[in-house]
Amino acid sequence: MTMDEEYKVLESVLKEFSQKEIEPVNKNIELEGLSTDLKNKLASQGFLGALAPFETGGAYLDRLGYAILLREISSASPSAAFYIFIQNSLVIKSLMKDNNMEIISKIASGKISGTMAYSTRLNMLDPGHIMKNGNMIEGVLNAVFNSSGNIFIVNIEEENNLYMIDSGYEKLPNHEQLGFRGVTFSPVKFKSSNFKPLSTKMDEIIEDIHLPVAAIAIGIANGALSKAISYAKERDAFLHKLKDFQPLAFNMSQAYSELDSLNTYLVSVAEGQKDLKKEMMLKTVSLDFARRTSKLALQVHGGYGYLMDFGVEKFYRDAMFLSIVGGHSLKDKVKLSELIFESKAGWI
Amino acid sequence: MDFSLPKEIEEKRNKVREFALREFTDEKKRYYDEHEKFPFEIREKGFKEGIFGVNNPWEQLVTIEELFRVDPGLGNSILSSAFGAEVLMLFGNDFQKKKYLEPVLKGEKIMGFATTEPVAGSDVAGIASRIENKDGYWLLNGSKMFITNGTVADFFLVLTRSGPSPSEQKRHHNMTMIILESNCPGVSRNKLYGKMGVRATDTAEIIFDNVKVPNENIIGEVGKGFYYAMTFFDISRIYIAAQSIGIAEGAVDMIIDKVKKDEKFSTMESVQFAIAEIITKVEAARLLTYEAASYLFEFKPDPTLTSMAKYYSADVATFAAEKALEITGVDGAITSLERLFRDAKIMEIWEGSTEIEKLVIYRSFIKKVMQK
Repeated sequence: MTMDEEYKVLESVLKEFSQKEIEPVNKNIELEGLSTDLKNKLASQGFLGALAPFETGGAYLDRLGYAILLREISSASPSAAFYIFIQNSLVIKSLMKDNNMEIISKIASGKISGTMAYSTRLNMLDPGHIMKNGNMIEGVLNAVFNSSGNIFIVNIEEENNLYMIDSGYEKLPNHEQLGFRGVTFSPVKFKSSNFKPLSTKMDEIIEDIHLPVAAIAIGIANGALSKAISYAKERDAFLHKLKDFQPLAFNMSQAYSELDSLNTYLVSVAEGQKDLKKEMMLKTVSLDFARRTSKLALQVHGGYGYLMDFGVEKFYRDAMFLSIVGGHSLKDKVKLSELIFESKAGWI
Repeated sequence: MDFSLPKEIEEKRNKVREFALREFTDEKKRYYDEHEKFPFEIREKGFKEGIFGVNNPWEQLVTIEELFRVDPGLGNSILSSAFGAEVLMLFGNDFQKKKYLEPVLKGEKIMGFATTEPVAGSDVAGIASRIENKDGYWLLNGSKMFITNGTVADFFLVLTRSGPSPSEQKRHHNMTMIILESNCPGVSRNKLYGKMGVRATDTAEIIFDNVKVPNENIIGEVGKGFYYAMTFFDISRIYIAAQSIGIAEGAVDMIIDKVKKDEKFSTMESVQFAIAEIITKVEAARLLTYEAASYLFEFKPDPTLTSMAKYYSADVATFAAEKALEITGVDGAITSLERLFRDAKIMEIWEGSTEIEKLVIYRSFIKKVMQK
């Protein structure tokens, strides 16, 4: 399967953007978070409104275009890709049905940013709880990404309805953060009378994240493996280049082959109609691959891979973290088992 | 065959566990990790309370396990104060032992062991730093990389080249080990920031620019340095295996923490199987490590077993940390488990990467087989 010319152009533009705008500030992203300057650049390219309609200033990408965007940005900075994912897959998608074009436009332009507090859909003992009492939404949600944002999409579990809150919230101290350090991650306390109901359901949003999460995972593997291949070509040990040693060359060639297959699979799934089973299968395989490959890439770099300066350790952390926050891993496994067995499965 | 450790060793284990749980608080673990600071006060406390000791190697082994089980970065700051001391014990002369080793064992001084160089990590024989024999002293030039205690050590044992390699096959010849005091003119040290894990451990690059080294600071014989370094690795790799077991145990602790809090969690077979897999591997790693240690502690080191123990235990540490995060999810990712995950990976890299261990295993194994 080959991609149409327009997607190849998109891929090439994204590679150039990553090289020019992300790579030079990659260390700062990990240390200080995504800068306003970079967010503005992501917005000006249409990435923050990747799924938003043209009239809001968005790029209105289709599934394949969006997957390529996330994969390519993730290859340079998984944090930046995750931020784009939050704005599009979680926030803009939640707002679309109700024609919240003004807010979508502000998100697409980078004037504001949003998040969906989906900690109740993660594998957590205490995800926190919020409730609606008359004209007040209050409570604490314990795991919120981009918790320094301006718009929060929250789910009232008792009624299973989403609401948008744009004031009356307080970001609490950050969690210890294994991955996606470019994006804030903390509990958030809500006490707001300023909220708006949304007609989209949280489950619709969560069910749609498998393909984009897979794209980010493949990007992580690609970014890590590219660095390892370059390093193995240059680094000498025992009077030879690293690439000349069989175990290393064979392992990396294997990973490269798997990456190529996964990219083809990604394109195939993204080009087709929505298919939950295929998307979940793709996500499962991609997350596993991202974890294995980023670990291999770090090992190839030896001690240098353990240092932030070499830009490879973040892929290892982010791959692990993505497999934790890219959905409820256990519930996803049960769901996929049910889709495969076409009946209740994997519940004992 | 009795697989249990003597009572006094288990008592030591309990004492160290109690110390680590008391002193390595969540606040301290997070603070030193976040700020990449060396915890001098915790180290001092460890010495005062008799946590550190080299008199009984089995005690040392369980001490490593228990400290790393709670926090590898902080644990290493206590244990690595004497990093390389075995070389002085085995090959140093009386003067060197009195002047350098004694203060280290009393906790008054910190030492480091410097072999790795910017262009020679696993390939120890590829080092380029060199000493030249001058009139009455030696002149040291070159640099070292990833040196534990790099900016906090009072002195280092430095592996350096004292003559050219006779041939490509004999690159390990003509190496000499020296004692280098940190405050010598010409020594500069740059702390390495931004490590993924073990961030409370001090790591640095050290540069030598025409540093004068007195004759009395040559360890053992000139030209035997590579042999001393490899002898030390046969010892230190056992310690890394113990560190790895500690990390894996720490990961199990984090899972059990969730099991205690969440009844439903432990009713799932996927969770039960994951725990079963981890604890089986930990037990296997411990048996392998203790077997290798038993030979070493009887002064009959077996490099095959030592490298097997280091390779396998390091693999178990990363496996356990990954698996624990996988099944505890966000609960694990916002606790000490995320740090254990970051710390675990270095086990497969330092003191000989996994790849080097595999080479040692094969070479020493095949040598034995061919001799039969």
